[in-house]
Amino acid sequence: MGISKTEGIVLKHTNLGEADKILTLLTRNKGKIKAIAKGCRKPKSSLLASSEIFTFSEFVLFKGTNFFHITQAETRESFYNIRKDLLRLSYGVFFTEMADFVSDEDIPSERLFLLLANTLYYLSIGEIPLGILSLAYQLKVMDISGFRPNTAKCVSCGDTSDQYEKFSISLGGVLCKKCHGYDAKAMKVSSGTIEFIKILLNTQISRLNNLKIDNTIFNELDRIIREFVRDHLEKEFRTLEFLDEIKETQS
Amino acid sequence: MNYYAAPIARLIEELSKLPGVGSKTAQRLAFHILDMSGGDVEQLAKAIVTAKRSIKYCTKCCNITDNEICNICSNEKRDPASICVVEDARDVIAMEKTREFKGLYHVLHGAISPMEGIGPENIRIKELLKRLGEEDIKEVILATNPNIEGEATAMYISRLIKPLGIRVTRIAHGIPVGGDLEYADEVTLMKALEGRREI
Repeated sequence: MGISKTEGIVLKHTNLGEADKILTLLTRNKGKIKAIAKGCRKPKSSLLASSEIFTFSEFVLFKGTNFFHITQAETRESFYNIRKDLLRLSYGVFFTEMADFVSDEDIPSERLFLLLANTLYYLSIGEIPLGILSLAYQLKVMDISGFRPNTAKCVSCGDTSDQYEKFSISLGGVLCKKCHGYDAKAMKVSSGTIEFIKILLNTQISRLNNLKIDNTIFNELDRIIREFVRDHLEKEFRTLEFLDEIKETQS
Repeated sequence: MNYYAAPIARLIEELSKLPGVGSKTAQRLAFHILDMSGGDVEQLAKAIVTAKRSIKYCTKCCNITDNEICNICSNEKRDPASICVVEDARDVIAMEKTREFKGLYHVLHGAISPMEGIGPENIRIKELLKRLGEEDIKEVILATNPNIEGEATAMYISRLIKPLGIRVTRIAHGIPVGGDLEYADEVTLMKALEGRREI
């Protein structure tokens, strides 16, 4: 394979040798790739800014035996404001860790790429409350990964009466009154929370700025989504634990 | 299969634990050590052990030193009213090479990094705040690296210090000396413009 050009977001980086880095990039048309940015830790390197986490750049790459190699990079958006606030930075790192986990090497997912780019943009400009942005992002990532929570009908009997009181994490959706017994661990859910799951799933990130969520509903949503993500992705995100610690120290 | 006698194999194994040293380099170093005179080898071994045993952290600035208080903190000619906060002991040396800064330092021994799970309590921020409460300090210069972790650390510290009424400054960002404007990224150029000064 020769030289190719693609847009990508830096999900993480590992130092290599004296002045190089291995970047994990989520690209628009190549999926997740690992690329070596040679000399990018030198102060005069033209790859310096593009090799920072979150940076959205256009990369010129060539494929080596094991890795891609970056020959040129032009920064499109550095999302600079994210680094100005520790809480925002912690959210950003959680978002990239989640994208890294659900994406596959060399399998393109433009939806995930655009979702991450949009979420980082709104995280950096700060128009949307961070908690809401995070819930919407997690739900949308789950949707893209094939785990869309079912709020339209009972996941056990298919009842569409809209009378749901429990949310089954393992079955992936709401349970009607008759089917509560099918999952002893099902969590209590209010109709307001179900409504917000639908809104967050179906509304574009850019239109979430006017959304207001009552604290009780927010906490219920947060609990359900957190369990839902953990159960279906079978992963404890280290950055989420860090985020919780930061939230605690700042409150 | 063991190609080497046990002591050499062990030496190679220990040397290959060093950063940037692979098994080939470790092998070359081990054979070089074997070729050295007995006295030189003992000197080397002694230097490593002595350095490890005698080096401790300065009780004031957390820089590495062999005394209770490091040479910089105990130097009376230096200005105790300004503190330069750096991430690493190597950054103190880099700053000292400029011969421009006459104040004192504070070494954080790391930067806040959510990626690595390093929080504010894992670096020497508490020690800095304690120092600010005890000493008469007029200015804190934040000289953490201009990358994500360094910026986040600088912002976090500045928010803690500003309410104390102490002047907090950040080292400038811009085009490196001998650099090319054409290759500078937008953020660096923006920061360079923001920090421009009259000549």
